[in-house]
Amino acid sequence: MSPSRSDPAWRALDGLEKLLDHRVRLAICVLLSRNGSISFQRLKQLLDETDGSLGAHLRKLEDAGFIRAEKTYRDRRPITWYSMAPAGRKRLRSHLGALERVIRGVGAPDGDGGR
Amino acid sequence: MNDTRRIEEDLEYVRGAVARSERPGGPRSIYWFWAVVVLVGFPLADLAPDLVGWYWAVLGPVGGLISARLGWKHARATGQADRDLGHRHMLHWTGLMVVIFASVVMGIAGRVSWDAVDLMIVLLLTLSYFLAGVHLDRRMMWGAGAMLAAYFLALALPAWGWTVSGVVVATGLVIAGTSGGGARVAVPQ
Repeated sequence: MSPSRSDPAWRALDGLEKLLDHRVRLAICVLLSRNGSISFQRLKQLLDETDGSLGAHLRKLEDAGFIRAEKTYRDRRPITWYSMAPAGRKRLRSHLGALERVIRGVGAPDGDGGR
Repeated sequence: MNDTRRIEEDLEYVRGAVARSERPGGPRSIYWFWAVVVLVGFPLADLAPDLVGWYWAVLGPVGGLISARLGWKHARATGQADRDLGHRHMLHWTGLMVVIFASVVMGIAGRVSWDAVDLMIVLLLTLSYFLAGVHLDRRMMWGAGAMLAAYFLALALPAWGWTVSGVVVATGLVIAGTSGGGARVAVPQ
């Protein structure tokens, strides 16, 4: 039987971050963890999101301490660069580990949906 | 749709974004730049051997700084900057430069002929390009192949060996720069 998100086994998994449940936020964190820093416009291009939607996701991640923003200027135009905060990097690793355990657990012959 | 299925779809979405972000390496302009430097520098060994040492003593470090600047500008223009990769490049090429200067000391000390030093430097460059191809940017393999060919050409040709080698290496660098789509489209800021 497939586990449901209401299943306590889900939330019992260490490291599963509620904020990263959304795939755009998860993608932002993975992209930033693989690169030093990425500009807002480049993230928008990579994720195919609107300004408003991407901005909202980035703000949530920034408020939660996952990522950091830095403003620079190019030809007098502001560019916002985003990078992972050290704590965010650690939490992302833990989240990805938890996701892997969920998937592996479901794929296991006993199908217990847990670890 | 169950949650596990959704997770897998989310991860597929993330994989797609990561694939789009994959960098093919540095900008093409770095390869063009070094192709020109080599095209002038290698023939100097045939045409004006006294200038070779000075040429590379200046162009080596200055070229490294220009490459770093080109890489930085490319990162700013594309909106994707990888400081770690930049540091790895810096360490890699600085290490090469240090070893090249150390090998020149062998020539100054009279332990080996200058011809041998020149050839040894080309071999060091071959290995450096090869390792850069393995660890930093696959396109560098073209440079490694061209350098190895240049080594044998300089060794075998009785005249104009370094000039021919220079053309071969410059061609290898141009091919390296052209392959793999190094010029990522700039992001409107």
